[in-house]
Amino acid sequence: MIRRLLLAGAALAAFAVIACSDIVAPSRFGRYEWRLFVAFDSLGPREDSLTFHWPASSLPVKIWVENQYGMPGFVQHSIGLWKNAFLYGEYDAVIVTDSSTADVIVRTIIAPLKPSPSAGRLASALFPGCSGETDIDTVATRNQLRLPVHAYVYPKFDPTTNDLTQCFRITATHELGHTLGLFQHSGDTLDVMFSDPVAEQPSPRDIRTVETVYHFPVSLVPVRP
Amino acid sequence: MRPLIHPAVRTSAFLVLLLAPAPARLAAQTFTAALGATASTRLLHDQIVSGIDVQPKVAPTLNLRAEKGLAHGYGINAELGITSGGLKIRENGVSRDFVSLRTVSLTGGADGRFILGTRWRLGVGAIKYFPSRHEGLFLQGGPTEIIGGAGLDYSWKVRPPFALVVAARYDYHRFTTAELKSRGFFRTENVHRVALTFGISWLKS
Repeated sequence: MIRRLLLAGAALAAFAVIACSDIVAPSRFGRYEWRLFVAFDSLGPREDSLTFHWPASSLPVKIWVENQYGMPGFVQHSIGLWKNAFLYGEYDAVIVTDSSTADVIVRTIIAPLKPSPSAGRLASALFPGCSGETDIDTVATRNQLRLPVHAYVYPKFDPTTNDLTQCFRITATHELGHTLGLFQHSGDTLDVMFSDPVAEQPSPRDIRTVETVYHFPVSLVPVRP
Repeated sequence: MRPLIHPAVRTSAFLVLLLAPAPARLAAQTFTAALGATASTRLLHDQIVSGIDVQPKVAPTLNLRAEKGLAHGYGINAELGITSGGLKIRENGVSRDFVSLRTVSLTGGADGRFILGTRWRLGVGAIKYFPSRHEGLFLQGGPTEIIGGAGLDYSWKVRPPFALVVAARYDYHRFTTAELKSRGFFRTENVHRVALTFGISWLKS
């Protein structure tokens, strides 16, 4: 009887040793600034920091893409890259055919003049062959993001004389990163959100940053005029 | 280099093969099919700004079991358990659905008489997770893990050779995924599950 009790006790102790440790999540340190800084027009600090991410109710985000230079394919590739950056299904997007219902519009023309004084422009991707820009319009209240968000990916030269596949792929991923809520550029050349990116996919720093954005309290909510 | 066959699957197959040759003093064979529900503890806890828990919802369960009686009321058995349910992500007190999740477990073990007409059961084997979509923490697929468990069965002989069976199960395994490992998660999560099933058994003398 005593031997059985000792055996049972030993089994329980072994189980307790095995079961005492749980999974340990990696540190998310080593991320860059993502917030949009806007002038604050009241008493107090003169600058306000704004965070945005797509709410779960908006998923999948609807993206309309101008069908030129094979851009829908590049954007689809970028959607997959960013979607795979998340562990818990925080982001998803689909390409739609009707621009009037789109949350994001991607065009292949040089960005026109800013649509309104409240719009900020993230000019980026100074890759030799192509360029990109994304307009973030926080409306007058500063607490709303006007939809659709406009992004531009366009060639600097005649695309028939140069192979711009890599340039378009990188720039589309970069601009889509801005539409996700990464409203700043990284200072690291290895990140796809570097202002002059060469990385073909989100780096570990990009992923840590965008993960943080999607679990950070938001100050901007999407609105449609 | 990854082994061709996962160690957990090898263990499980070995145990099932062990059951295959009928012992000389075989008393009877019993086949049971049962339906019920399985509840599980969380699969994962993460910390991004605030805490995030990933936990299966209570899942409908199908258990298929084959038992061979031995001398002195003991027996050996093999059990296939299938659960199919949702996975929820809980953060700041708010839950949302993620992928659907199916688990298939195969265990082999021993059983014997217990008190008040019940039978105990112990088993070890393997459990495999099948997510409905390969994304997020399941981007590289679902894991296969070693599982161990115990349980109690009670049966009523309503119309021989058939009987009604109620079975309670507890099992334990550890959880991680290839995607979590590649993201820098280390160690594995302790997962405890309990199941209650009702079914019918057929005694083949």
